[in-house]
Amino acid sequence: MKGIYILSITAVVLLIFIYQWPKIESTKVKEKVAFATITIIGWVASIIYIVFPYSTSPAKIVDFILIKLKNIILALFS
Amino acid sequence: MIEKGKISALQMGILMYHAIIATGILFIPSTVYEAAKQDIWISPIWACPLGLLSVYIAYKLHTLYPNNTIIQYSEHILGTLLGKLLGFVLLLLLYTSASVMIWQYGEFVVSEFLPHTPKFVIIGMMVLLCAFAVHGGLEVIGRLAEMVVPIFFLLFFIIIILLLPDIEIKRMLPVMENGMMPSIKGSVTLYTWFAQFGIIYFFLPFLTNREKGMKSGMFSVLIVTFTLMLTNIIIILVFGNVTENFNAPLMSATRYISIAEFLSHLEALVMAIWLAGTFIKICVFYYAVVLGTAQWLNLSNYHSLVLPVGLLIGVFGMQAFLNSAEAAEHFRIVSQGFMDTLVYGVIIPMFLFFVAYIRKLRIFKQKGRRER
Repeated sequence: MKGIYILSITAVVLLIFIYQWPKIESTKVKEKVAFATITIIGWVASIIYIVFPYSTSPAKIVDFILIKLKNIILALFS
Repeated sequence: MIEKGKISALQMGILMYHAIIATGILFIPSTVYEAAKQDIWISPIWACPLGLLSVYIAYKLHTLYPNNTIIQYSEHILGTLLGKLLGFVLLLLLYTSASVMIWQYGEFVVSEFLPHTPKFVIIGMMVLLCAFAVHGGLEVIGRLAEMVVPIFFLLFFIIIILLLPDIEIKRMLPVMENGMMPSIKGSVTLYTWFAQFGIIYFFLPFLTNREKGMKSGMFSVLIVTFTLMLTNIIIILVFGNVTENFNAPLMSATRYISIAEFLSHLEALVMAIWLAGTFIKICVFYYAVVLGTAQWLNLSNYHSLVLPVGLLIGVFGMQAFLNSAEAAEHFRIVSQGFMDTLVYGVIIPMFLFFVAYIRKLRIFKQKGRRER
C-alpha cells in the first residue's frame, strides 16, 4: 500500500515538473533552482510521512518552540 | 514589481473579512464558551482592538515603505542578514498556519459531509483549486472574494432568520453574571483570529487607492466583530449551556431548523457559506506564502512557485495533526496566550515598526547636527 502512495506522489511531482519546467524561461537560473528545491522538499516530506506516518509535523514543532519561548519569557519576568 | 495586478481597498477589506470569518464562524462559539459561558457575545468586543492595532501597525509600516511588503522592508529595516532571518521565521509561521487551515478544512469536510472519501483527495482538490486562483494573481482572488460576499451574507441572514423560532432569551441571562472577567478571558482565544489581520501587510502595496487602505482594513475588523457577535448571540440563544458540546455549533444549530416539517436539513447552506469562505481564506494565505517566498528569494515572478508551495502546504496539511484530539490540544495551547498568529500578525510587525521608528529618529538627529 505504501508503495502505491509513493508511486502516486512521485507521479504528482513529475506532473508538476512536466507542467511547470518548460514555462520557466531558460535564462532564469534562480527561478529554476527555487522551483526544484521546493518541489523536492515537498516530495521528500511526503515520502517521510508515508513511510513514517506518526512523525511530527511543522505545526507541532512550532507549538513546542512557542511553549518553550513562553516559559523563558515568563521566567524572565517572575 | 513582482505582482502586476491591483486590487481596490474595498476588495482587500473583503478578502480579510473572509480570511478571518471563514473558520471563525464555526469554531469560535464553542472555544470561547469554555471561558466566557453565556457572555460569549461580549468577547469579540474585547478582542476587536487587537485587530485594529494590527491593521494600524501594518498601515504605518506601509506608509514608511509604500512599495514593499514585509519581507522586503524587514531587510531595509534590520539589514540583509537579520532581515532575511526574520523573513524566514515569518514564512515558516505562515507555512504552518496555512497547513493548519488546510488540515481544519479536510478534517471538517471528512467528519461532517464526506466520511468515505479519502482525506488526501479532499485536501488535494482544494489545494489544486486554490493553486489556480493564486496562479491568476491577486486581482483574481480579490474579485472572487467580492463575488462570494453577497451570497455569504444572504445565506447567513437566512440561517439567522430561520433560527429565530428556536431562540429563548433566558438562555443568555444573567448577562455578566461574574463581572467582566469571563468575557475578557474568552476574548484571549479570539486573539488568534484577530491577529491574522496582520497579514494585510502583504496586500497594502498592491492597492489602487492606498490612502483608503487603513479605513477599509479597520472597517473589515468592525464587520468581523459584528458578525462574530451576531453568531455568538444566536448560538447562545439557541443552545445555552450545551454550546460547548458541539464542535461546530452553527452547523449543529442549522441541523435543528425544521419549519413546518418541510424546510429542514439546511446544513448544506452553512457548508456552502463555509466552503466559499474557506476557499478565499486558504487562497489568501497561500498567496501570501507564495509571494513571500518569491520575495524572500528575490525572484522575478512568483508563478513558478505556486505548484511546489501548494504541494508543500498540502503535504504538511495532511499531516498537521494525527487526529482531532491532537488538534484540540494544539488549539488549547494556542489559546493560552502565546500563539503563532499573534507572533506573525502583531509582534513581528510591531518590533519592525519600533526599530524603523528609532532609526528614523536617529537619521533626523544626524541631519539636524549637520545643519547646525
